[in-house]
Amino acid sequence: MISYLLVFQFVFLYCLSLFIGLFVYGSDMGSLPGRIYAVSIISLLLGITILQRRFSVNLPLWANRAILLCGALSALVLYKTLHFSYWDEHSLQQSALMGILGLSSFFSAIIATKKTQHNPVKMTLALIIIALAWLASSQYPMAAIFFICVILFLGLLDNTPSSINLVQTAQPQLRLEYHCLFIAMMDISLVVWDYQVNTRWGFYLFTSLLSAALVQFLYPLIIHRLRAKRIQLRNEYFYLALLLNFAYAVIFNDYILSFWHSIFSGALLGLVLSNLYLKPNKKFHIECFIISAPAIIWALIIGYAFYGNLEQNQWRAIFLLPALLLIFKRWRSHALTAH
Amino acid sequence: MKSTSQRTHKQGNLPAIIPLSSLAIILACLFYVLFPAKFTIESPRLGQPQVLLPGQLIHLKIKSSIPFWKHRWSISLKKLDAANNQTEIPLKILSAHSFFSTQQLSLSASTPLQPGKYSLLVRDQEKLQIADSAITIWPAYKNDLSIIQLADLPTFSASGDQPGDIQFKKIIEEINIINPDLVLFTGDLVYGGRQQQYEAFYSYIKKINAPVIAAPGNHEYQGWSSFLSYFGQPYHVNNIGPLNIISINSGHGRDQLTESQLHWLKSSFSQIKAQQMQGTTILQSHHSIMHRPKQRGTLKNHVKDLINLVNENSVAIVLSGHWHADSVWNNLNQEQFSSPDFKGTPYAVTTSAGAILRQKHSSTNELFHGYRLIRIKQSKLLNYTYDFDGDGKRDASNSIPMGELQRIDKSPLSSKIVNNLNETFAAARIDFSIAGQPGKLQASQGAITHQYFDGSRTVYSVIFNLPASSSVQIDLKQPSSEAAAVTL
Repeated sequence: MISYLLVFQFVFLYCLSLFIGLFVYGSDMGSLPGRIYAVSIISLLLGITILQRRFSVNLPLWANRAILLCGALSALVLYKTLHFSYWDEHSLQQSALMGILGLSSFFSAIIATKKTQHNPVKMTLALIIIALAWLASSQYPMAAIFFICVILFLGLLDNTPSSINLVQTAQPQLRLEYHCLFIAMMDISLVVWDYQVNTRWGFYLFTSLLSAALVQFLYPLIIHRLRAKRIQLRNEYFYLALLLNFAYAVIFNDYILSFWHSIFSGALLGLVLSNLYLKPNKKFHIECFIISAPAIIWALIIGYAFYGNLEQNQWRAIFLLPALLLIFKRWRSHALTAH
Repeated sequence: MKSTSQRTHKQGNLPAIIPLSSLAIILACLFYVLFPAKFTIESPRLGQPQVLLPGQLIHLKIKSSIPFWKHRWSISLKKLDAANNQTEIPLKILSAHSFFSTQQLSLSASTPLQPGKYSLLVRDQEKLQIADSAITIWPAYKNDLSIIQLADLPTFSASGDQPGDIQFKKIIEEINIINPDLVLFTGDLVYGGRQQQYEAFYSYIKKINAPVIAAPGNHEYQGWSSFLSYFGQPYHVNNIGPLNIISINSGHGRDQLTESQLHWLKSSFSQIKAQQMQGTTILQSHHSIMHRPKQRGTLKNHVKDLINLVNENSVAIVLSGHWHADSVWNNLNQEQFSSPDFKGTPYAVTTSAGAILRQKHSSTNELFHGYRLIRIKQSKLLNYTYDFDGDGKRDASNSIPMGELQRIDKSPLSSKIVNNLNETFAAARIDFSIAGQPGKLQASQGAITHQYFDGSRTVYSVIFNLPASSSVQIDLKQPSSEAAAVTL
């Protein structure tokens, strides 16, 4: 259970907290703290790229614990200042701690992927706990960082050996899933941009992740039953629903504030997660989820920096194009295979 | 390599340890983060004050760092224009509602409150939070009001001696002479966003005699955490009897108004409508709803919604800044050049009160730093522009240029007020601060309406008529029955 929490905390707690901190409360990117944020994010992305090159290392237990402890202490000290105050864009201490936390959070997630066995119940419970972090954030905006702290501390209790070994993300059969994950993360965070300092978005994020947890739990059961009845439900239908849900939200902005939007966005996110885990060849590939972090980071940060300067916010629909293209390609290849 | 049974055995030992260790870790982290218990005053505060009548309840909103924590509140008011040794006025908690980390209290004073400005002191045992100038008590709500609006202020410094600081202190002196009922700050209040600059700005506006309502602009995002710390919620409604001031936050990004804020605005208007039949509503938004070509962002996307809301709710005037020039528009997005009086709500963009000026955005040939004086009569907008050219008719869009009102102190008891404006101020005010306690004095012009001894000096407030393009000499002296001159 702890390993699942470690896996999910990077994307659903750290990446989202970073996005909220930078885009709701801001950062002076021209200052030293701002440059530390930029360096941390670039280091993360570079780290992911380097690690993907068939790089494999077995970590001694003390190294794993050092990473966890470093991250946990950073999060604790950081949260002490953020609990009852605001994200301070000019704070050098805050940006440094956030950078250290990011690296620790990422490596802890990668290491944890090697320790997880496919267990839908534990995965669901972990996602529910992650969702609760955002419920707490509706009262204290940065509460998710406290949850990261606790999860990293709990990771210290695990004695199993660790290794860092990532699979290549350039797997053609997963590219559509990555793009959909990109869109799904943008979709569930639309409400954050809208509400800004009104932390009602915490409740929306809680609803989305709860919905994702439920769907990813029920999905294998539903698929199994459908297959038993020889009903084939192609994943591309669900991906199209995800794209339509996002498109509807960017065109009719009112929909962003509807709880149905957060429920559907979460459900479709859960669907993408299920497919990422279960492919290829039904092997458990949770590390693929972590490797898609670059997409998530770009989705959250670059996408919103772009949006912030758009005259017509409907232009965000342009992000759908790569996914639409991939769906079309997949359908075509299926059709050709069928012939 | 361990056997499966060995691994299982070792893993089997973990479950007993994990819950206890986990609990210990979580409790330790929680303790470290949460204690000592803190709280903060969300409203009222400087920038979102409550303006009340004596006997009205004070509604206080507090946020706690620990949910459901039982604070032991001791709440009082301290009058600002009063003796330093004056005791605080304790407030009694009549009702308290709490939801998770937020508490809402209704308070009343144990003794009748005198008209004036008060700071709110909230104590929880040893911890104290002060909301400066949070409450203003009026003897009665007014249907005739004068309001000053400023935007795009000069740049402040930590030292307080830079040109921007000096300029702003002069602006405050002018505002205090004019003696409006209310002062509105419509965004771009602090350029640079450093905490020391916010501290400086906060300390300056505390000296404004009238209640102050602040809305953020895009430059507040340079120091957003400081803005939130000092001024709290960026969009809000202030109900002052028949007057409602709605401040929105258009500075998110630039020219942005999000869906949630639009919804909030609609529900605010509905609440105002439900509460009263007749009154005046003023909307302030740093970015103008009206636009010239190349306007950006979601404010542009919501122009029709906003204009409809303004029309449906008979908003008296919409005030903005951001353009660093004066400009007035009607609700058909037509710039006004000939007269400020036209059918419908005027959308007035006010020139900067210190930031760099921009001719290209101006509706007039005159370009100056200034502020807008809005007069309300019988709950209706009377005027909001200034007669710059002195032809006896108010201009289509000009605000009041700064620096045309001066106070020249000839002695501690004698001041000359020079008014170079084409504007009469019927209830102008100046304060004399005299060492010691000279006792009862008389003003040569106007009347002394208030005096108090602050421990070392006695402050006398004189209200007088200040005609247009004139100067008024005000001397303080003993009442005519006591002919001896005042000696210091």
